[in-house]
Amino acid sequence: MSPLPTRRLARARRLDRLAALCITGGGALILLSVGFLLVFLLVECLPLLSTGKGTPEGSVGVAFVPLVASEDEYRETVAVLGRDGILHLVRRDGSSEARTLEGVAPPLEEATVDSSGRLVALRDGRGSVQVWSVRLRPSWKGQGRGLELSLKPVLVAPPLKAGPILAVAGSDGSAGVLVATPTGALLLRTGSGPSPVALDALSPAVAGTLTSSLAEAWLASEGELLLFEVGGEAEVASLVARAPLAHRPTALGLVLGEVTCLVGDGAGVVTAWQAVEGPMAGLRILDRSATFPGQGAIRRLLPSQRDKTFLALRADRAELFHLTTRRRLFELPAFPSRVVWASLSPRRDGAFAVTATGQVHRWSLAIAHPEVSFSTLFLPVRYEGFTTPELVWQSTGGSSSFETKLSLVPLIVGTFKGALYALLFSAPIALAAALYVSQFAPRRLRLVTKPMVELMAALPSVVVGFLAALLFAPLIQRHIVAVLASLVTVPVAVVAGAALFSALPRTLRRRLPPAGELLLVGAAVAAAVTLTFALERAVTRLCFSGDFQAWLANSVGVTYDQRNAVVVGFALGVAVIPVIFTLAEDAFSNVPASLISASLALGATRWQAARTVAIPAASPGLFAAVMIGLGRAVGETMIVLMATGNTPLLSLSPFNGMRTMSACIAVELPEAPYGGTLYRVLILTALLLFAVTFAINTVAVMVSNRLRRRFGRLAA
Amino acid sequence: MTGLRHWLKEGAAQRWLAGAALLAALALVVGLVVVVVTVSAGFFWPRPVLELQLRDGSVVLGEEWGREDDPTEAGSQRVRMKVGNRDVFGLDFRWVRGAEVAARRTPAAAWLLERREYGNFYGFPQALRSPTGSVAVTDPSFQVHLDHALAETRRLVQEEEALLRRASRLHEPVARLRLRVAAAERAGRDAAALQAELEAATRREQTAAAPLLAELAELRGRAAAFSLLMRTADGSERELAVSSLLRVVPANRMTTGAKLALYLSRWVEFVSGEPRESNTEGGIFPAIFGTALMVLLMTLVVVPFGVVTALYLNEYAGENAFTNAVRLALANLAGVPSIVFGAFGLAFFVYTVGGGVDRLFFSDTLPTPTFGTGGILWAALTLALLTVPVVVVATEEGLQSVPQAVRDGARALGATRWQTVRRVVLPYATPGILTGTILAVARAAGEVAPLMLTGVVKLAPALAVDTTPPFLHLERKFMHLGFHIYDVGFQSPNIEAAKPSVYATVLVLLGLVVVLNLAAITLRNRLRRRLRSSAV
Repeated sequence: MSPLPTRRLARARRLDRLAALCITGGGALILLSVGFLLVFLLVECLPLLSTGKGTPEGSVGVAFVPLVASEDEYRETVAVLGRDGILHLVRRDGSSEARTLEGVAPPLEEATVDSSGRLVALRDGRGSVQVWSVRLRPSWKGQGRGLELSLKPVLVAPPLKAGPILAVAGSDGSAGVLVATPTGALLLRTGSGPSPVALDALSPAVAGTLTSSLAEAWLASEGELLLFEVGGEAEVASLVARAPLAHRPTALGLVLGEVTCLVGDGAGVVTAWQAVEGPMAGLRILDRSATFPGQGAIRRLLPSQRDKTFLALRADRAELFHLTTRRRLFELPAFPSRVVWASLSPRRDGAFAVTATGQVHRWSLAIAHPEVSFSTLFLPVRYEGFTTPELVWQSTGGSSSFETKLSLVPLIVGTFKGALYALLFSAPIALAAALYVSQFAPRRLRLVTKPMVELMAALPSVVVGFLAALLFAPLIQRHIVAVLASLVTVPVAVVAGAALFSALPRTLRRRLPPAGELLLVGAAVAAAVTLTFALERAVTRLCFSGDFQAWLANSVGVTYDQRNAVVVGFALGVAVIPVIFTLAEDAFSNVPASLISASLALGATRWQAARTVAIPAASPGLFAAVMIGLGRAVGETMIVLMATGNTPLLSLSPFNGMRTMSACIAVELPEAPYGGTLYRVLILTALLLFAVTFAINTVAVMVSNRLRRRFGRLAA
Repeated sequence: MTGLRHWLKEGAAQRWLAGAALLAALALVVGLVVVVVTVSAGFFWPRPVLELQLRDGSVVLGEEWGREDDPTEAGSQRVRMKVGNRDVFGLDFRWVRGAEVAARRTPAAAWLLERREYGNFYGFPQALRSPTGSVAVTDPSFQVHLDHALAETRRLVQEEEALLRRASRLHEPVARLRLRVAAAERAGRDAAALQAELEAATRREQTAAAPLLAELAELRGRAAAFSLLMRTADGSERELAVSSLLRVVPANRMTTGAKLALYLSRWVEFVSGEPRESNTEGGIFPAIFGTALMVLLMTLVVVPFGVVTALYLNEYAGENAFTNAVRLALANLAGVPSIVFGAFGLAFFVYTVGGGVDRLFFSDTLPTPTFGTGGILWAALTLALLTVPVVVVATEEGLQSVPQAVRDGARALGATRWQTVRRVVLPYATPGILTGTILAVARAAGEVAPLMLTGVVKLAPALAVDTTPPFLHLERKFMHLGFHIYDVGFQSPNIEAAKPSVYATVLVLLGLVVVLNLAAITLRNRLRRRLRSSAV
């Protein structure tokens, strides 16, 4: 025999080393991918934690005395109205352009803008109150984007004796301006004839604000907050509700949606108020829904036009808050002194401030997910229009001013509710079946049951969910009494059958073939089910006056959804039974046969051997089986998606539906914009689901490992 | 009393209860499968066309689709009639209360027409109009003429479809250019050159398409010359274009053989045809194709990955903390809910990797995503991650069945470890790998939740494999059997009419999964027998 050529040998060795490297790498890759999955999901939802930040972008200036200002959508130009009656357009690069408001007599006494920054109300040198529409519209000319200013007066009122301008709101076609008077305020409107509407508060108004429809006005006097409704046939303002204030109010503002009114006071506290139905029907009361403490008197409150964020301007600081989370997001850094006006940009991606010397300071804002905090995710929150704090999942609404309600609690409760009902149904069946197969049944039966249970495990969950929702849910609804009664009648019938069988003479019993017992059990079950369904109508008439659902609604006060937890429990059970069964059977068969033989040899019956030896010995494995079954039930998606009705209710009733975390991800994640709040919250939900099942599986694996070690010794 | 206690202690009752639990579990599996098969298999079987004479003098013609207790009147039943003629009545179905019916007939002359649009039509044939003239139903040659007309229009429709395909291919460059122009304009780049190119392409398309359009009009005209005059149940007459008919079924005059042939042809159409009428009718071929292709792609990834991992665990690594960690990771991969993989697939594969690929290679069409949106590749990769544990477990079992002596023998002959693995161990373990692959395929075919996030759609306009280069379009969205069930069963506007289609899809999917699993179980049993014999 000639020796192998060394080159071939070397090649074989090289290949061997390479293969070892690749294969080890492949093994490590599994570990890496699980770790990466976890870390990646974590990184994807980390931005939820951040409250955002503002970055100063420097300042530019023109020398004049400013009054008010507003910014365009692209944050390129700030339009500043000076005391001289001239509108200065100050661009980013410091260049500026001046436009005169024709017919306005300088010097202006005062001015204010509406929440959108498009209407400017002013009082000129003659005392005339005017409202001007100021619009910076983007225009595309060739390659670049330009801005077009349209400037026109929409309301010019004759000089009148009244206090300062409180607020302006509305649109170009229908604008309104609120002016303080010694007894309250006066609402001047376009197109409504000469007579302004008086808002009678019996004391001078300090601050006020208007809804853009001009239908509601909030006024604050020295110690009181008042809500007026304007309208009706006579076009008058009627006081709807009032509430006392603890401190002297200094500024009012309406949060986007115009449901909540913010009140800033001299003590530096901002309170949020909403009108809710009072104890007497039809009467509304003002209710304080949130408090934002702080230091330094509030000068202005400037709500964002994008979400429920608002800017609170104090003497030398400006802070951002969010209504839903009740959180102070952050303070604008490097805030200049002697600020005359400050506001948020229309897209809430920036802020600007104008100082008394005409300097325009800008900030860019990165506030990605202000509406989410730990407490909004997991604790009850008092949303707009709610009278009590509640746990609600409602991710999308009809309008842009919709307050997203992202509480994970209804989803978590729904998930565990479904899993619990599934386990209630499946765990006893699966464990008992595994016990029977491993301890009582003839060996040949295992050869049949094993593949059948594996087939059950392989049934696609979409098929199970489909059948459960479209076939079984209506069936269960029609026969709910019989279905629930069977839970009692079937076991009773089986026990009775066993008793009858035991009463038979021993010789007769001995003649039964091994599988015959199961046939008798089957007969007992079938008899019980048939009898229960046959008697259903009579029982329903007797106990529930003929209609179980009506009885449930009237006597117990529980509504019946067709797709409810009973249906889900049953359908999820189909998915969970094979999981628990297989693992439990493994646990039983891992118990050394010698132990059971010993017990039988001492005269125990098969059941006694099972009860005293097999079950205790296998119990950690049984526990692990149920845990893994729970993990499967918690994560199952399609079945719950189809068979639950998918409503995020917070109800533990077995006759109501629910929405689980998994179903919520499946339905909402494909529609959620990438990087948005909903997207990240849903990824967080997935991460939670991952964490829960990870914990469950790890515990189960550890328990069964310990079991294997213990019996490994015993078997040896 | 003590007797009862003693009896309970002995445990006959407990034994019986445990037996009942086993029966319940088995009954669930058998019950589900039996229910699916019995309900699904029957939908395509031809039913008689019933004519119900109502007491108010009107006549209802259609098929009976089930009956139930009348909720408005105790003790009587009502019948759900599929009356079809959606273009006439608006709805396919109506309830007829038992008390309303004066007479039930199955008129021999009644026909069921299956149409391309608007669902079924029930009525009585009157005459056939063709370019050569009109033939009344009483004419003995009516059937011959009808068969000829059906064959002729079918040929014309096929030609028409081929023409339309050619026209749409002509349009492709224009569509691509239009996307690029839009992207350039959005990005603020100079689009003038592209614009000019687009105009030229549009002109080219117009000149090339003109003869096609003329031919199309001619074909349509020829097809329109064939029409069938039908009388509906209420006596009014309607003329139906023969080209709109898929099948003409003289439902009440069929022999059992003809019924069987129709039943089979409906199944063939279902499995090989395209869906129609927003998925409620027609076939599910794109869903079958999408499922198969996605599973195939997944297999290409998961099998090497799973086999390598199993080799590592079983052949290369010893029992140490690291392998324990790998095993724990595997157990967790197996236990983590599939929707979490879906979320990961969407966030990582679609948005991160796909978005990156788009920025690198398809930036001229951004923000319209190419790979940065769900697609068959991302779905396959997500499912590969999901099914790795299945392959690993089965492969490990296969590897464990290899007798140690065989390995030792190979090593003793001087083979390196890799040579042993490749030439001896792997061939021996092939049944195990195959079992794992089949189980993974079965799992992936039935999984829906992760796909909903990574690229499945209710209706894919184009298959992921076609004749335009590069032939395999990994970025395309696809249809899937399981999602089809969810979508048609739950999101369909006309659920009752979709029932046959959705139940048949359930049967197909269930059949597929059951067959795959039975194959895997058989293979594994064979493997286990060998394991037992080799251990001896």
